[in-house]
Amino acid sequence: MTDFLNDWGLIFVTFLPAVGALVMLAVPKEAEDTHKALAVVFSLAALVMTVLLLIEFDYDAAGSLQFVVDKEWIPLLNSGFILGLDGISLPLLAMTALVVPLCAVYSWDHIPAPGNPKAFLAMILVLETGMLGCFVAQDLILFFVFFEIVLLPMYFLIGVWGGPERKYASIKFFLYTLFGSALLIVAFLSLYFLSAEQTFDMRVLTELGGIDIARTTQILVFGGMFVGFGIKVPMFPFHTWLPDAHTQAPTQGSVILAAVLLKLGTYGFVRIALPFLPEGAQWWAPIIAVLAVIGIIYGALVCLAQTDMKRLIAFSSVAHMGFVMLGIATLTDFGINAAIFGMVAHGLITGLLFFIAGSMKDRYHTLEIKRLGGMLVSAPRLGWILGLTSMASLGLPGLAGFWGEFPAILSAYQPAEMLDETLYRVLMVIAALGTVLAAGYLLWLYQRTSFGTPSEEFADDPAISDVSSVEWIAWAPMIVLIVVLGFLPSIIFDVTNPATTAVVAAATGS
Amino acid sequence: MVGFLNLPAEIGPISFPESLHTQFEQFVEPVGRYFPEISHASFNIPLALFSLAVAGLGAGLTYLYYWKGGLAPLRNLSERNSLAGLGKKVLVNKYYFDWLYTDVITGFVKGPLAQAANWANTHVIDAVVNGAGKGAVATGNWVYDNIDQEVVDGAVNATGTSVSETGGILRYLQSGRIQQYTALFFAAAALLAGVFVLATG
Amino acid sequence: MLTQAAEVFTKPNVDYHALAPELVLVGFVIVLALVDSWKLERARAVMPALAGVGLLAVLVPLVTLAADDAPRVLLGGGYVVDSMALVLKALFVIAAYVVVLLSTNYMAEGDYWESEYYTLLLSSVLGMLVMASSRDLIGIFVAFELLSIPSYMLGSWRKGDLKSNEAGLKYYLMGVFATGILLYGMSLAYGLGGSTNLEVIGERIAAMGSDGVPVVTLALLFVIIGFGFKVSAVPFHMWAPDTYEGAPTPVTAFLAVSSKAAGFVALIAVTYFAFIVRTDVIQPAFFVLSAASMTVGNLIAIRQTNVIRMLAYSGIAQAGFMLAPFAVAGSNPEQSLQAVVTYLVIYAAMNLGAFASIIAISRRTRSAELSDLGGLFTYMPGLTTVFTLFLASLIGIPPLGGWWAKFGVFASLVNANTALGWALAIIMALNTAIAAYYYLAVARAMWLDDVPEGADVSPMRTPVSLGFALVVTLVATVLFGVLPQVVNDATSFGVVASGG
Repeated sequence: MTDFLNDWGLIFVTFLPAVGALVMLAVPKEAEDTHKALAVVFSLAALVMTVLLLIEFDYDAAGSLQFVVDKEWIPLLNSGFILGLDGISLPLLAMTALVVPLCAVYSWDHIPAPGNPKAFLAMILVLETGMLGCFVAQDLILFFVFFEIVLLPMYFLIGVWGGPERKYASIKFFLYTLFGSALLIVAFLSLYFLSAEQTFDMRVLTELGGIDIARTTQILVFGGMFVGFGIKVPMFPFHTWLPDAHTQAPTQGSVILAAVLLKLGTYGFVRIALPFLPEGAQWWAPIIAVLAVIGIIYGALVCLAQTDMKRLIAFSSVAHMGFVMLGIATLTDFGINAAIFGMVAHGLITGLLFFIAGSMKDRYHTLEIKRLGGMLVSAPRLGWILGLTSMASLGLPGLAGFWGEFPAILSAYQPAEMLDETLYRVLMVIAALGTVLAAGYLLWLYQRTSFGTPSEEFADDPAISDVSSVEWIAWAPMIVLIVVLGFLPSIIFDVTNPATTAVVAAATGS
Repeated sequence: MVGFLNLPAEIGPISFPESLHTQFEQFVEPVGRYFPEISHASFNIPLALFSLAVAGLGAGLTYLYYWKGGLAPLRNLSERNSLAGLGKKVLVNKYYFDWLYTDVITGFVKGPLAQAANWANTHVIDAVVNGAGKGAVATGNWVYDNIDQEVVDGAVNATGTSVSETGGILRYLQSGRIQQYTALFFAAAALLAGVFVLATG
Repeated sequence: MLTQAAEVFTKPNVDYHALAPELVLVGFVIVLALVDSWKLERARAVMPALAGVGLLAVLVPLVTLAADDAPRVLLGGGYVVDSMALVLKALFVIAAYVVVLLSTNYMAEGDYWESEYYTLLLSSVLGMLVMASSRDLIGIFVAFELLSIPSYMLGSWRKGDLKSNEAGLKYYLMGVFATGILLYGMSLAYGLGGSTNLEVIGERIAAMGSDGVPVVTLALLFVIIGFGFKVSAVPFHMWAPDTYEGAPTPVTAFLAVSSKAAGFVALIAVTYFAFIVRTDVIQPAFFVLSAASMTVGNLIAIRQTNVIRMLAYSGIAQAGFMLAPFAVAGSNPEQSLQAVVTYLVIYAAMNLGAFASIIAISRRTRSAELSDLGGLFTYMPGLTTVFTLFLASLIGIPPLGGWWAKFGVFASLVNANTALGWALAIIMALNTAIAAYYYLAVARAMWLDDVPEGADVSPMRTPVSLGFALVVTLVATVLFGVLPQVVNDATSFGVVASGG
């Protein structure tokens, strides 16, 4: 078993969903239930493999890569098929492997118009392979391939199964991210040609730490990565694709987008940009920090002005990812630990919020905040779950959101040595104000949708039922994790810390 | 309760058992190894006694005024003295903090500020993105209309009409399309040749 | 001259194994012609099968030659069968085989002359095979005419349609003018080099130093322009959209892939085996052609509402991408050559696939207009998915072949580390994003738009030959992207034989 996992574990995790998509191609379109079952089975299989890996993982050596697969791929370029798992990848891999089966389960009775579960679920499975691959790839070209695989399925998920503005939203999503990818590949290539050793192997590049690259060149190349990953995160001011894409995407699409896709950008910063280009990172860090804090305040303010619940949740992602980026920009192990926790917490919480918004839309056929109200009366359990998730999202201690937000703010108190302490302390104060605004818009949202009595329009609407069993199955794991991680944050911190220490050592030369 | 359970480790000579202090410290102030060192204010006995005394004085005065009916000169003071009246008004409105928070700060943030941010989002930041996209398409259209179609001409539309009008492929060719193509072909070749001969010569 | 020629004539020692692919093809051209004249109309049914078998038969000597590995040099260096020639020949043969598969139903159902069609197609392929080995101006010119003349006729194969007649005639006339310029350039090169052998010409030009520079420049430029016409490089592209639209779609595929590839093979021969010594002329010249082709091709493709016309203009842009490595031919010869050949191979797979898809789709829609493709996903999901994959490959999204082709070009430009290389890399990056827009527009129509009113949405069987063509091209497109080393191994020729 151990041998099998060591040699094949990551390959199976990554490609099982893609195999599932292929199997689904062979099944005729009319067998809708078969397709739903296949999607659940294959995404669950990937989850089971992930759990086996988690059991087998050597937590004492979380700082080094495990289950490494190293096969020749494109010898011409010194690019290998290298997969590996360490403390930074592990929480994100686990979260991805969990969220997708939940989406598949949720799809059991929530296939968005115009139907066709075969295509819909096949897209989600292909998407899953891309996302999982990104988190375990240890070769830049391989990473880029997985990074791009994600694009097309998401484009179609938004474009075919999305809301009324789906065409505009999907093309904007696609072209915006494609533009970022073009810059990324140019940055990767220049890294390859400029490095002392021409290779795409991320293990080697981490070790080299940009040793032979001049400071100005590092700054330029980092700039390319900054835009490429920054669009994906999305960082202010590259965020405008996000509200449109989130709002128009079908529920499952929004969940995956929020829970996993955004993390590809922040993960890229931690895994690639910082350790490979330390001097570039040190030059860019204050800029990233300032933009992150602008994002926090700006996202929160725009949230307050939203009239549509889904759009509000979408903008809240801009603010939350701001905290993550602030943590990364401190270039300290403390900040990056917080950032990774923030990624997982945001994935669970915002993912769940989008699930709830989707289910509310099914019941009310609108998400216009001012028309809603009294959900605690008409669908009390749904109302309570929304309450709990909102509290988690605003960073209430005892729930997962707190451990993403609070340590990130705190980390700005003492950034890495070469960074300007005063600037970061000012930013810390402003970011802390952002949490107040977050509490403001989330509580306001909760008050307007759930408190009071149901409006006349929906008072006796039989469609407004409480949480269904399928929804319970899909949501329960997320709810449990939000609470458990809130009380035992060390589950994640203990795993990430050894790995982030290594990243910081590489990024700051200490 | 919290105050009680968070007694300092010792006050002067008296030291408290561990079960009575730092019960919730890890919640209000994380001490994990990921956190930077934070310095603590030390326990100050005179300050603690003074604040207790102020609180005790307030409690005493209240007792005298309400339960014992004492302190007669103070009765209806706010109606007689305008300064005191102002003071009462400030007190009744709780120092206007609620007004400040709810109407001024929250109202401003929720209303004008949030709206302004939202406006800027759609009309400035997003407009730049959309503008870039529209610009590229417009450039394409312009090149197509003004360069490709003017000079090279589109046979798509022209073919149908001119062929049916003239009724024959020969007449169509004489209408100039091929001449145009050829002229452009040779012109481009000559131009390239000229430029390169001059540049390399 | 006369005395020289009269002096001795020794019969050249012909290596029949080296010529076997061409000889097999010649044999099948003759067989096709005989069967046609003997069986007349009854031959129609067997013609496509016979042509297909003929092309596959050519693969046999290609494989044996590849197994043999040693390069064979014939005719005093004028005809070379090395690994590059073999790869290119295999490419031409397989591409032509896919074109035959595409043509089978199209020709049979459309009441066209069939027998002559396949005979001419194979003759054109014969020209391409000769082109892949020629290292001599005369050989190149003969091959060029052999592959061009049949294609002029194929362009006007829809004999009842004025557009098709116009397409063929226009292609022919423009082709003749281009040939004129080409011959002028070749005669100058011969005058300068005193030989028709490319290697000798290269050495002589190099030895000339700065003497007679304008003439050298003219010679190089005119030859490049002559072939630039064939690869539809801007500004010599005007024939392409009209011809592509008017010609029968399988012929369009043939012109856009095989014929264009042959033009590139000619460019490779003259550039890498002779002209590479004058990088000061050829690098800027290719820079101009490449930048103009990708930019103009893309900007105009955005506007197209007809998928075939869009593919024509996008083919111009793709030609620009393929011309880009030539702009660093001197600075980075090995890698740039590999980038061009890799791009040719992958481009053939994905573009033929795109044409196969649109042929299969328009059997139902009866049109290739974007507006008629609306909602295709709802009634032809399989074909829509396949076509989308080809479009994604053309955009350059991994893990499909196109990304690797583009990546190779990028890498060769960046690695050359010259001003021209960097400038072209940036222009190319911008153009990649523009191209994504219009390829995506097709996908968007098929997936997101509604079915147009009155469209026939009943299911339709895709003929076996067409389906097989789709499978072949799709497997190749995916394989080249997932395992790029496959195509790398085939296209790594090491240091360029004679030029470098």
